[in-house]
Amino acid sequence: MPKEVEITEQRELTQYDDPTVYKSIYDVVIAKKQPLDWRRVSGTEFRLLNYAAGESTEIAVGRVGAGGLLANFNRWEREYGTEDVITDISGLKKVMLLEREASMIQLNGEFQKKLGGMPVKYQGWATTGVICDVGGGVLVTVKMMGPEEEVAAQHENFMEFLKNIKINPMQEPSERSKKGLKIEEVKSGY
Amino acid sequence: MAKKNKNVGMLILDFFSSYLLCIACLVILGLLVWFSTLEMKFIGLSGALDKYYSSDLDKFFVLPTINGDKVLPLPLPGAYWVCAVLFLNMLVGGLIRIRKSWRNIGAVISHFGIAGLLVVGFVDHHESIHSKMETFQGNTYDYTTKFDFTSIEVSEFTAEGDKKKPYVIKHDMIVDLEDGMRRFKFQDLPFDLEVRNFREHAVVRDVANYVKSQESGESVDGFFLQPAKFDASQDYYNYGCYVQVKPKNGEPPRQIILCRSMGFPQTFSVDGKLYGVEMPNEIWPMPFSVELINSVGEHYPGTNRPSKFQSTIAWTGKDDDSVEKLKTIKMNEPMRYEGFTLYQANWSEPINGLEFSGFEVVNNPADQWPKACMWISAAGLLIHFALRLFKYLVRETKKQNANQEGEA
Amino acid sequence: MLTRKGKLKLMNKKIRILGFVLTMLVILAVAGKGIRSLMVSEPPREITGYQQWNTEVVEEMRSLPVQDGGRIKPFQSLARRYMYAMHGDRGMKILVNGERVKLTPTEWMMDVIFRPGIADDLPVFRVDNSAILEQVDMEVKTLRDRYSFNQLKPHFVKLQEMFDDVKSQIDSRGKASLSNEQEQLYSFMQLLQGYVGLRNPFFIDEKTQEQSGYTSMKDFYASNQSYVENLGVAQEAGVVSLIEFMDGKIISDAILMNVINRRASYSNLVLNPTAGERAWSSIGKRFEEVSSVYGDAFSGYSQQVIALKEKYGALNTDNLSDYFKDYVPVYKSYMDSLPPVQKMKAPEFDVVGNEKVVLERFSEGLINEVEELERLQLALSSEEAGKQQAGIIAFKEKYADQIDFGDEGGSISGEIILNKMNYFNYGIAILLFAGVMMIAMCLSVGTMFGRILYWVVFGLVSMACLFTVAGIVHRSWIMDRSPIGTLYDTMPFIVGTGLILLLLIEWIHKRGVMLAVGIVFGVAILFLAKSFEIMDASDTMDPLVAVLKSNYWLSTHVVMITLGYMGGIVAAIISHFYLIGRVFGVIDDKETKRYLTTIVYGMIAFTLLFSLVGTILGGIWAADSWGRFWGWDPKENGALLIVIWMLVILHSRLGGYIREVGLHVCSVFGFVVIVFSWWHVNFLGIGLHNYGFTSADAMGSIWNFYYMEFLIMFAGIVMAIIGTVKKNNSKIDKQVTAIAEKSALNQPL
Repeated sequence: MPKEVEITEQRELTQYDDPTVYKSIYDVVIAKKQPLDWRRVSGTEFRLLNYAAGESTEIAVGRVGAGGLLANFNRWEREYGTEDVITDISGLKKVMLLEREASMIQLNGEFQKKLGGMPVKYQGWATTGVICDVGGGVLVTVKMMGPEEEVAAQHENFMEFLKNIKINPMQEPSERSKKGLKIEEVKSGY
Repeated sequence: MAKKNKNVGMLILDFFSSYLLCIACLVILGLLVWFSTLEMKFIGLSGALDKYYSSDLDKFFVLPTINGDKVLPLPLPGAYWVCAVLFLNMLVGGLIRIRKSWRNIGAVISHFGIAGLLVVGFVDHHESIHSKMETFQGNTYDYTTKFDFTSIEVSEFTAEGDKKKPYVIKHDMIVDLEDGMRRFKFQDLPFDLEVRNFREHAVVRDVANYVKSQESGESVDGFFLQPAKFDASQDYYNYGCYVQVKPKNGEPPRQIILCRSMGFPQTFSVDGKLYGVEMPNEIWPMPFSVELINSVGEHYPGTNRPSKFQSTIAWTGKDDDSVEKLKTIKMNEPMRYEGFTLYQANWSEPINGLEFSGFEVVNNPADQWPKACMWISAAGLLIHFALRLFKYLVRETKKQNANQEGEA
Repeated sequence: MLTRKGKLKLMNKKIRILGFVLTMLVILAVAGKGIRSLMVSEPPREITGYQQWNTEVVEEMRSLPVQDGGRIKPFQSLARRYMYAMHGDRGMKILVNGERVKLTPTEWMMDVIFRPGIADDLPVFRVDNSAILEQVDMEVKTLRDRYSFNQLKPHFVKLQEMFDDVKSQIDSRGKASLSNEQEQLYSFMQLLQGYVGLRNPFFIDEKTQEQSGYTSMKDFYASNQSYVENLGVAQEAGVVSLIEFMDGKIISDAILMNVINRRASYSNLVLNPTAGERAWSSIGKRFEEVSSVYGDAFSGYSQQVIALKEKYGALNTDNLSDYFKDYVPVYKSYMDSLPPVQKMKAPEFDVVGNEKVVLERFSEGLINEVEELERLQLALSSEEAGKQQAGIIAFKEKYADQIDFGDEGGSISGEIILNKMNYFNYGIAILLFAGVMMIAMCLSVGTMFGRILYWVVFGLVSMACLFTVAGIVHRSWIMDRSPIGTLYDTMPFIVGTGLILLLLIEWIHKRGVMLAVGIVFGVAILFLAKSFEIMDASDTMDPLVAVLKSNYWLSTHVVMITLGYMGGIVAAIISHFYLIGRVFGVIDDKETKRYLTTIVYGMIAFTLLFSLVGTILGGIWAADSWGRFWGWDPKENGALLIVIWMLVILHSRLGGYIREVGLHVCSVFGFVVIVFSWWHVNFLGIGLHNYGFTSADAMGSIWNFYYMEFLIMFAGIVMAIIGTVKKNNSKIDKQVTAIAEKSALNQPL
C-alpha cells in the first residue's frame, strides 16, 4: 500500500449532505453557516452543536429541559464563584435567537471547570451566554467560554452565529400531498 | 514419456474426483463451522465471519480458539477455500466423471443443485453489498451507509454553508493505518490530509469528564480518542482515527479527531474557505429515494414482545420521479427494485414524537438463485432415494413371496 | 420338542435379551437422572388450618379468562405457568392434618390472590442454590429446597439490597458479566416480586381494617356516598364534632389509600378486561395513580393541621371562630387537591339505597373494576362453596362479551380440555406399558402367547402415536398456527411423526424391533418435553415474535428441519440397538443385522433430504427477513452440520470407508450433531436465533449425553476392530489351512 495517494473520487451529493434531513434525533437544532475561525467538534450528551475557537474557547448550543431561565443563568454564575447575582430577567440584554427574544449575559473572572473529573480554576476567563425559551418547558442555550481576549475577539462571530441557529422542522407527511405528486399504491411483491 | 504425463494427469483427476477428498472437505468444513459457532460468543458474528469465512489469502489458515483464549495448534484451511475445493470435487467427481446412468441420475441432479448453492455463496460473498438506511418520519433519503466499510470524506462548504461534492477515501486505504500513516493529496483542495492512529473500535471522550489512559490518543480541542473493546453483542464497529490537515500555503498543520459516531463533519478553514472532514461508513447513493410516511410497531397486549413491525414509505425511482408509489414494508415482506432489496430491519418507539424505521438495503445479484437450487437438489435427492426405496421394496416383496412359497 | 442343548441355548438367549433390555433401561435412566437431578424432593410440610377449596369451585375458576403473555387464556394456564416458574413442579405437596394433599396450580393461585395469609405459609419458592440465601444469613438445610414467603420475609431488605447491586451491575457491564450465583439471585428476586404482584391489592388486612375503620373497598365507596349526609348530621352536632368528623374521614381515607397505594404499585394482578383497551390493564396501576393523590393531599393537610393545633391548643368557644378562619382554607385546599368529584347514579350498592345521586371521586370504569374484584373477593371469602361458585360465575358473565381473542386465536374451553386431556402424559404411560408387554413378549418368543403380545404391543404403540398426534393437532387448533413454533413444540412433533414412520416400517417387516425403538424413542423425548416445560416455565402457547409470525415459513422450513431431526434421532436409536445388541450377542444373525442396517441407511437418506431442503428454505426465509441468505448464524450452522454429517456418512459408505458397524457408529455421532443443533446452540447466547434460555444445568445434561454417546461409539469402534481382526485372523487361518492341505495333498505317499 502506497504511503501517498492522490484522491480523485468524488461522491454525488445526496440527502446525507443536507443538514435539514434528520440523521439522528440530535438534528433538531442546526446551524448551516458558521464563522470561519471556528472549528466544529464532537457533540456531547448536553451539547447539540459544539465548536472550538482559538486555543481554548468553546462555543456550545445546548438544550435544557429543567429549571427556568434564571436557574440556568445562576448555574453559569456558579462557574465564576458568584451566586444568584442575576435575579431579574427583564434587566438583561435582549437578542434574537431562533426567531424569539432571548436574554444574554456576560460574565468574567476566575472560571472553574472540570478536567478529568476534577475541578480546575482558570484565571481571566469570560462567558457570553444566551438562553431562549422555546416553549413546552424547553430552553435552548448558546454559550461561549474561554480566555477573556479570545472571547472578546470572537464576540462578533458569536452574535452573527446566533442568527444562523435554526430549529430543524419535522416535516409533516401531509406536506407531500401539497407538492402535487401522483401517488400510486403498490402491492407487495414488487 | 507421454504415458507418464498421462499418469500424472490421471492421478490429479483421480484425486479431485475422489470420495476421500469429498469426505475430507466435508469433515474440515464441519470442524470449521463447529469451532466458529463456539467462538462467536467471544468475537461476535462479524469477528467469526472475518476469521473463518474470509476470502483473503492471508487468512488462509485458521487457528481455532477455545473458550476465548486457548489457541488450538490445529491449522485448518479457511471455509472459503474448503468450499472452493469442494466445488471442484463436485464438478469433476460428481458431475463430469460420474457414470451417467439411470441409477445415478438423481445424484447428478442433486450435485448440480448443491454446486449451484456454492456458486450462490461465492457470488454473495464477493458481490453482495449490505447497507442500512435509518429513516425518520417526513424525511426523504436517497442513500444508505454500508456495513463494515468505513470511509473518510472531505468537502468544501460554500459561503452559504452548502456542502460541495465530497472526496472519498475508501476503507482499504484506512484500515492498515493502526501504526502507520498515509498522506492523501487532493488536486483541487489547498491542503493534504495525513491519516494515522486508525482504531477499529473506539470512543470519543471529553477531557472534562475523563482521564486519559496509556492507549488514549492525544487531546484535540477538549476531546481524545479512546480505543475500546469490541462488544460482540452490539456488533457495531465505531471506527476512529486522527487526521492532520497540512495546508499547502505553509500554515502550521492542525489535528482533527474523526470517529464514526460523531455523525457530522469536523470543520476547519484554509485560505478563507470552510472545509469539513468526517468518517461515516461508506455512503452509497441509491437509484431511488424513500420518504418515511409512518412506522407502526405493535406489541402483544400487556407484553414487550413485538407482534408487528411495518413501515409505509413513499418511494420514487430516480429515472421516473413523477410517479411516487406508496409501499408498505413488513417483517418478512421486503421490497425489490432493480437488484436492490429493502428490508424492515429495526424499529423503535417514536422519540420526541418523531417516528423512526430502520431498513436494510441489499444488492445481491444471486438473490433469486437459491430457490432454483433448492428445487433442483430436492428433486435430485428424491429421485435418487425414491428409486432405491422402490428397488428395495420390490426386493422385499419378492423375498416375502418366495418365503411364502417355500412354506407352502 | 427341544433338546437339552436347545433348551440351554434358548435360556442363554433369554438372559442375553434381558441383559440387552436392562442396558437400554440403564441408558434411559442415565438420561432421566440428568433431568431428575434437577427435581427437588423434600418431605411435604404440614400446613396447619389449611382448608381445601371445593372441587366444583376450582373447576369454575379454572376456566376464568385472563390475559397473560399477550393472549387470552384460562386461569388454569396462567396458574400453571407461575407454578412451574416458582415451584418447579406441576403440583404442590403439603400435609393437612397428617394427610398428603397435592395442590393443583389453580388452587394455589386462588390462595395467593384471595387468601394470601395462607398462601404465604406454603412452600412456594424453589431455590436451587441455597448459597444465595446463606448470603442473607438465612438458615438452610440442603442445597436445593423450597421455601415459603413467610420464611423469606425477614430477609427481604437484605435480598433487595443484593438485587439492586446486581441490577446496577447489569446496567454498567451487561448481563454477560454476572456470575452464576448472581444470575440465580436475579431470577429468584424477579419471581419473588412476581409473587407479591399477584396478591389482591384490595384485600384489606386486619391491621388496616382496624386503623382505617373500613372493612372492604365497598365500605370505602359507601362512605364517600354517605359523606354528604353525615356532614349535615355532624354540623348539627356542633362545629367541633364537625371538624372531628371531617378529620376522621380524611384520616381514614388516607390510611386506606396509602396502604392500597403501596400494594397497588407492585400489583400486576390482571383478572378482568379494561373496557375499550386491547391490553387489559392491572387495576393496581390505575388505582395507584389516584390513590397517590390522596396520599399527597393528606400529608399536606395533616402538616397544616398539626401546625394549627400547636398554635391553638384545645378548642373552646373563645378561639373557635379564629381557629375556623384558619382551618377553612386548609380544608378547602385539601378538597381541591383531590380528584374531581363526579356525580353519578348509584350502582347496585346494597349498603346504601338505590337511585341516589352520589358523589364519586373516581372514574366509573375504575370503580366498576374494583367493585367486581371486591365482589369476587367477598364471594370467595364466604367459606360457602355455593356462594363462591356463584361469585365466580357472575364475574365471568359480567365480562363474557368483552373477551376478544383478536388475531391470535384461542379458545378457553378448548384449552381447558387440552389441559385435562394430558395427551402426552398418556402417551408416556401407554408406551411404558407397551414396554413391559414387550419384555414379556421377548421372554415368550416363539409361542402363541408371544404372537398375541406382539399385536398388543403394536396396538399400544399405535395408540400412543394417536394420542401424541391428537395433542399436537389440538394445540395447533387452539393457537391457530402451524404445529411447531417454539422449542417445546418440536418434541411432541418429533415423537408423533417418528412413531408414524416406525409403525409404517414395522407394518412392512413385522420383526418387532421398530416397536422397541418406538417405545424407547417416544418415552425419552416425551419425558424430556415434560421436564423442559417445567424448566423453561414459559407458556408454550403464547404468540410468537413478529419475525416468526408466518405460518407459511413455519409450516415449510421449520417442519422440514424438525423432520430432519426426527430422522436422525430414529436412525441413531436403531443404531444404539444394533451396537448394544451386538455387544451382548443378542443380535448375531446376518439377516437382522442387514435389516437394521438397511433401515438406518434409509433413515439417513430421509434425514439428508429433509435437512437439506429445510436448511435451504431457512436461507430463503432469512433472505426475505434479514436481507441475507446465509449468515453463518449459530442455528444455521447447526442445521448445516447435520447436512454435512449425513453427506459424510453416505459418501463414506459409497467410497467403502465404512461398512456396517461404521455406519451405525456414524449414525450415533449423528445424534450428537443433532443435539448440538437442536439444543446446544440455543444456550450460546448469540445470534438471531437465540431463544434466551440459558442454564448451566442444562449444559451439564447435554455434556453427560455427549459422554454417553461417545462411550457407545467407542464400544462400536472397538467391536469393529475386533471384528476386523477376527476376520483377518480367520482369513489367515483359512490360508494356512489351505496351504497345509495343499502341501498335504502333495505329500508323496
